Amino acid sequence: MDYKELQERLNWVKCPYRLTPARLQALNILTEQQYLVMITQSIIGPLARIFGIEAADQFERDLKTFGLYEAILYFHSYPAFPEEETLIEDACALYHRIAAEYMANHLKILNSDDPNIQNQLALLREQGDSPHNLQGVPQPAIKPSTPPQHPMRPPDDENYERRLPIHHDTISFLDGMGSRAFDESKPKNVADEIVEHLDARFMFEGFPGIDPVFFEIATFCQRFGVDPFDSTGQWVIQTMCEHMEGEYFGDFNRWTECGLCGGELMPLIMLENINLTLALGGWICPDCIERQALKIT
Amino acid sequence: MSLQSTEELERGELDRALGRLGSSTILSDPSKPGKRLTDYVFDPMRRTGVSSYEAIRDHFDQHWSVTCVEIDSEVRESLPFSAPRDDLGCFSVRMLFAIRKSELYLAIRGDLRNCNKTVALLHEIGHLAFHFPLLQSIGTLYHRISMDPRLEFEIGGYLRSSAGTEMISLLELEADLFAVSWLVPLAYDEERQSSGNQEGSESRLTGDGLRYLLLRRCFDHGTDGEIHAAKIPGYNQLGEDLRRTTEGAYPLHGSLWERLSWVLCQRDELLSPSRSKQRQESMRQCLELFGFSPRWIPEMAGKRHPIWRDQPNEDQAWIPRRTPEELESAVDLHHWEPFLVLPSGKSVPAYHIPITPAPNREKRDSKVEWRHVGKADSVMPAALSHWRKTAEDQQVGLLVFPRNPAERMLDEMRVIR
Repeated sequence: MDYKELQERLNWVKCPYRLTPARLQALNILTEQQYLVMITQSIIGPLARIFGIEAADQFERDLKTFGLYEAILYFHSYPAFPEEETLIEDACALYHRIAAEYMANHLKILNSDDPNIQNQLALLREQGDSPHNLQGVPQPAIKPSTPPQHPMRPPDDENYERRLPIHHDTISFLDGMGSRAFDESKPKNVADEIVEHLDARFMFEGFPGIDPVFFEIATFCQRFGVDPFDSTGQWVIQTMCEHMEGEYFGDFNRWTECGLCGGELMPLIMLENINLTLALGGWICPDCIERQALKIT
Repeated sequence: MSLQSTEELERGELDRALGRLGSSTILSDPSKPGKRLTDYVFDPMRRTGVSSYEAIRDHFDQHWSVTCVEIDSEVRESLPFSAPRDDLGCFSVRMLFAIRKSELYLAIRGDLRNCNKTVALLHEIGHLAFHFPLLQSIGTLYHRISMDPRLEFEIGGYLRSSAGTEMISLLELEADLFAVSWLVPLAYDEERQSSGNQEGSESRLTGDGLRYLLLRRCFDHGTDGEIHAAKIPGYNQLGEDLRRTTEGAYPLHGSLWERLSWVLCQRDELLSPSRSKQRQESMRQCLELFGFSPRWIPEMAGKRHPIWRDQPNEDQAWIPRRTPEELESAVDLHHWEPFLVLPSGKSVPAYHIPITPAPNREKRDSKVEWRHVGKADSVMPAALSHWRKTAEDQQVGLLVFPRNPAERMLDEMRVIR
């Protein structure tokens, strides 16, 4: 099976989260299944039998680094599989099963209070887990209740108290630079705190990718009680755009797919486009926008 | 050329000898601070000891990023390995998070005289020098217990065993050894030994007398300066009496003076190779239990074998308990350790939810919002009542990490942590 064929087969079930051992362990705990054991039995064992222990070791390394999707995708670079072997089909079937199970339980895992699960996710954050290279899935649309307002930073409040602790990596970063003078960068309003926190998350935990990033920003605003379409929320989104363009979070893949026609596009990262994307639940290409006279009402 | 003050000279010596280490370095390479400290303190050629509390405190705060907080109340070690006595300080490796880096700070009782503060501070730095990896491993224990509550009883079995009580004693003894060796350099042992050969001289300090005098200087700066000849016989006699009183076991529950005098008198033996072997064996046994790597969390792989030979039982619990009704009032008391709130009728739930207050200038923990220790920073904290209900609904425990007095003070001072 060549790369394209294998990719299309795997994409029967879309899962934007890297199914690395830590994430699979979290799924194991929640569902009381043993997916890691299934992977060993269905993929790693047969790989060792067909191609030797080095191939099995390579697969394990790919699984740990890139997740199950890409580890299987790399089969295209292996020597030809013997005709009678069904390893590729079995691997894809197992991926579909696990990916579907994960997507069905993703929110339960995220929201679980079980420290056994949360420590797996903490490990992923420490390792800079990011779904950057994977196919996105449609996001739930965030529709504005009023037309988007002009972005404006809220006034300073000298007595502003943080709602969240400073991101621990920010502390380490500034400490490592020999600086403990945090007062200069102290947030003076809720918008500052949201931007500070998102900057830290994307810098230290990994940039999530062009597809989900603005949904993450908007959802985070909502958690702070800020409407992403009011002046404060729009200021936050605009500031994050500036940071993305300023490469605060490094380079990232700017290509995505139109949610309507499936064509590839490289969207302009500007507020108007982003607001439409949030309202529609994904990026739409300019042709589709024009054809369907899409706008925010 | 202007003369430097004693304090300036001492600060200069600390800069030269200990240099600078960020907390990131300390946490990522736990052996580094220990080596630097022990190389300095146990250097047989060193003859001076920095005794300024401010100089030592400031050096660790500014150049090692280990904050020292003075507390005007009782201080206790926040670990299961704490000697059951009134502590003058604690070295806290606050392992609030199982996976990521944690906080270091020293807490000292602020109501002590300066000399005693110096000794207390050096004792805590001694824990940093000798026991830092072990303290990290022990700190991780709470998180492992939240993942597997049965682990608490296994650890309890160890703590009640002779190996456990010996370890508690060893940790305190070594910290005292560090403190006294900082203030009374090893070079004086040679001088004391040669003085000891002079017998029956009323105008000369004996080895015992010299040792007594050096120890007195640690606690009372008034004995600095020239020694009056008339006082020499007194010092010699007191030194001899001191040596006799230290011939028993290490006085774990004794005063600071009793402990340091015992350690100083026994220093030769404590630094001997045979003692070092004994120490290594005790430490090895302890680390086998808690994990050689500070972040050894076998629960992450989903399996754990029982680690202590005796059959664990619920009588071996050691984390303090509170009822759900006591939760809001309990968090506002002075705590140096976490406590457990268990669901009714369930002494060993599937897991404990670990929670801690989000840093806040508000002094009362019952009035601030609390966060799940394992979840991302971006998850909004919630009121204590929310967590109590969540734990009740899920029929699991709550492992509550209230802020200790040092952390409340750091929050009030807006020190980032």
